[in-house]
Amino acid sequence: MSKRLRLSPQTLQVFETFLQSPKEWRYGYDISRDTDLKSGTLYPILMRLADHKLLETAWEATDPGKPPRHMYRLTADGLRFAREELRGRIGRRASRPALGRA
Amino acid sequence: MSRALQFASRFLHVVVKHLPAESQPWGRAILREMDFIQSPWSLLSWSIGGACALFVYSVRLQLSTFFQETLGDIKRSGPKQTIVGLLWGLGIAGILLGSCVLGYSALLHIPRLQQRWDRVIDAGLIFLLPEAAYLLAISQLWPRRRSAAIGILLAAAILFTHVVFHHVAHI
Repeated sequence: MSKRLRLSPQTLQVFETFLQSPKEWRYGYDISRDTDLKSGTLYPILMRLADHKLLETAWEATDPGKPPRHMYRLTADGLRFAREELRGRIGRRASRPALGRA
Repeated sequence: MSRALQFASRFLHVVVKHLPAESQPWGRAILREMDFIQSPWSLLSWSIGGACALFVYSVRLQLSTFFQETLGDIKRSGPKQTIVGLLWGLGIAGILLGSCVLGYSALLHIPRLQQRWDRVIDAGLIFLLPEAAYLLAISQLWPRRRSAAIGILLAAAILFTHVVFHHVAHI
């Protein structure tokens, strides 16, 4: 399933944010602030990751009388996939010849 | 500024209210985050961006359900029956369009109509009337004879494309 996932630089940014504290639940607005992504970019990524079962979601009841808040964290598959992808990207970047250098 | 705030909040509330059931959790999630945003412009941007994301997600879900249902129907009824249904739908659409073209040709024999209402008759009989009839037929046939409805839908799309190309070429 995860093979068909389109990995944009923004998705990788979201992965990086989740990997900073893999077990911690994150709120949408916090991820948006950490990544500098607007809601119109961030939520389609979260929706896609959840559809591919790479992201788990939960509702957190905060203040009484207020609606619960949606939280997100990567699933075990998501963590594995994110780590592999980020490692792969870094590896590819390192093996690329540096143009212009003597 | 407060108007922008009010607009942002109301806009997203209305969008979430009209979302299909499957997209509702995401809608409520985006809406709830607005309680934690301080800057009015960030709120406005959050609201509009969120609405766009929800719209695209809902359309994607609806389309995927539509294709899955249609594929399921085709698998259930078998390819032979599906092709027969499609041809049947295309045939009905062809007869309907043919009748409209005949009606159009008959009306063109009336000189007064030809001079004054030529364009209106042209657009009405060759495009609007058949397309309206197609849509009506599709809505009626969709629950019972889906392959025939898809045939008519195909004809409607072909006619629409033809008219668009015709106008683009003659402008």
